[in-house]
Amino acid sequence: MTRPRLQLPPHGLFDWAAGEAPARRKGNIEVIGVPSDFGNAYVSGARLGPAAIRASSLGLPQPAAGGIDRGDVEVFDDADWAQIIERVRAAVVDTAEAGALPLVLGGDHAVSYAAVAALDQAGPLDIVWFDAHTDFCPLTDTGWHNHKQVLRRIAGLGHVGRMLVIGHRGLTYFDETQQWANLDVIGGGPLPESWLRSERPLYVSVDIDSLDPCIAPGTGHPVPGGLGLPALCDMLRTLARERRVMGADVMEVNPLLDHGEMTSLAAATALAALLDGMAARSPAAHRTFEGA
Amino acid sequence: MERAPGHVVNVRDAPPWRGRRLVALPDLLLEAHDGGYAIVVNAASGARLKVSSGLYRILSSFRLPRTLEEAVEEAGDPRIAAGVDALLGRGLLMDADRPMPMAQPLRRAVPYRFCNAPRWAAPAAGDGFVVLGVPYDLGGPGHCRDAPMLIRQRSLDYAYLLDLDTHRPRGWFDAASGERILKGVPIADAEDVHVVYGEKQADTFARMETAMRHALGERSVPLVLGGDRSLCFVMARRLAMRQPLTVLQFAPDTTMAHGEGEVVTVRDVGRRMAALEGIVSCLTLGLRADAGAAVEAGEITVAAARARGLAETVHGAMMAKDVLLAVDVGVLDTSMPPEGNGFSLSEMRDLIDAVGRRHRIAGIGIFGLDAGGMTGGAVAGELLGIVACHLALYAMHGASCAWQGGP
Repeated sequence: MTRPRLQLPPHGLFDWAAGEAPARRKGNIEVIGVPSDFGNAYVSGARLGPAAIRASSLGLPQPAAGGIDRGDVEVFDDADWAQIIERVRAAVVDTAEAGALPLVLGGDHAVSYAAVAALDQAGPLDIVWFDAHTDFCPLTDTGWHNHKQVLRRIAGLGHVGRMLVIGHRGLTYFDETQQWANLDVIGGGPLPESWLRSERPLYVSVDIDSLDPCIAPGTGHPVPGGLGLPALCDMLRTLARERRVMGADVMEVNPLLDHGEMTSLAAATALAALLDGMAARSPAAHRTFEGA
Repeated sequence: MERAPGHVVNVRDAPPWRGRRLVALPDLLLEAHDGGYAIVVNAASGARLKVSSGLYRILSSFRLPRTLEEAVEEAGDPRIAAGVDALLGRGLLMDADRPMPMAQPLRRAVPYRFCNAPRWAAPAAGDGFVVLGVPYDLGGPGHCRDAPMLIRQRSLDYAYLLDLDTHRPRGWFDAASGERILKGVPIADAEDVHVVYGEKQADTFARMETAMRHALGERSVPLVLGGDRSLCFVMARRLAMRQPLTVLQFAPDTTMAHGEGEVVTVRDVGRRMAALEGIVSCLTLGLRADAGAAVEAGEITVAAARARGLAETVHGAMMAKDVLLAVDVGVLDTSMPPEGNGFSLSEMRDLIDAVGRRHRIAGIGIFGLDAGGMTGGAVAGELLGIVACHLALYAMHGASCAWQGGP
């Protein structure tokens, strides 16, 4: 299989090395950026999220786990949205087949579909979805890949097991009734005990609007009353320590709506917490990136 | 001095303006001029007028208030007098000592409508909400005049949609209850009351009251987007004409100060409303702990409300069936982590729900949103705009429960 072509960023996430994956990749972390916001029909700007998160991460201490930043999936303004999804899926498949762990930087939340779809060999795969919205809307008047119904699409993937939405709140004109037997929805922590005691692999997706807009104003649909950053970091750290995380993403950071990099810094901080948890679960595998 | 357009003057009569001081309108600009004509623009109204060069010369003589004899050497020339009369008739000249009363429009257009609901067209016969912005903030120190626009702008994230089959409003999904609220409830936006900064407060209030009278049907519930909470006075005065009314204010500091003079302020609006005819009671909920000894009768602090229980606090107050619900968004604690000295959004939701269960919410006011970033910065302003949308929709849900048979 030909490796998908990725565009190198000026610097890697957390100042990790940026470039082609080395020969030995098993167990390591690979960052894939997706500068696309075609899945958000109302608010553009999340396409600038990967660059903003990388820039903000440079000001943070190095997390306990290391990795390599493989760059951004190519996105063209006139590209078919389905092709972007396909390129993301191919990049994640390449990472997963090599035994590495994908860390996807969005982009709008519809991108997560590609990442989860690519992990079909890992299944059954549980999903923890930090989000102010359920993203489970039965939309009929928009594109198939839309960030408001991405979890509904993910639920239809054969290898997806249980799903947990954390941070759901507020009002919306969409239909967000709980509509799936395998979907649990909670407003905030603590993490349900049953979600910490499982051997199933886990995918963690963080929509930055799960945070309170006081902390993360730079997102398309902020909702008041959200999670605090310490609470989010604590849950991410715990999940990564207790569960076998196969992949993760951070989505919907919109620098055009941000104030002083508050949101991109919160996103980078959340990622660092996740990586610390992963390193605590398997220190040897994640402490350094061999060959980088 | 008032003449119908096209009025013909007999120059042999002594014109009524003879001997009076005249002046050109202060808002005139010369847009173009050639040998024969000049184009004059009224910058206040946008109107353009074409006048002859002769008339323009006469007009230019009245840059300062003066009589015709002071302004023009050939004052006795009947053609000059006819010219002056024409300029008066076209509204380019006016009597300097008897300024024309400025007819102020009642309302003014806004760039966004609340939740993109339909523009108000006529008073509705049935139940429904009418949104009215009032960008007035001279009743207190806060900068709240931009709040109606900010709230409307943020409300576009909560679009008012119609069901394609029934053509009835679809309402909104409420995550806290897991249900749709305001389903089938019509909303119309009647734009902003026209506010002239510098005019007497009584004039602004009279215009607001007239706008409410025009826009509201018999069963309509107004949602007023302030502005500062002194506007609550107008709402109370208007709504108390329908039914005996209790005013329930959520405010972070006193509204029961003793007022001086005629101007209603944010600090004495509660006391002034309590004195209005038709007001049964006036309660202020949500004073901060540092209000201390300043807490007056009818005022309850956040801590006291929590200690007693939020629903019990609301239900324990003496109230009429109809309630005017006025929320100064300063009552909320939106900090993260919460500082705890204001109500959280979820507490406010519970309080509003408690009111809606026992009472008929006859009017809703959202006040005190500092949208200019003078207190708290742009992030706080934007966040409060979203919070205000939530509060308004929760309160509208509470009000609609009376129409739909309970929450």
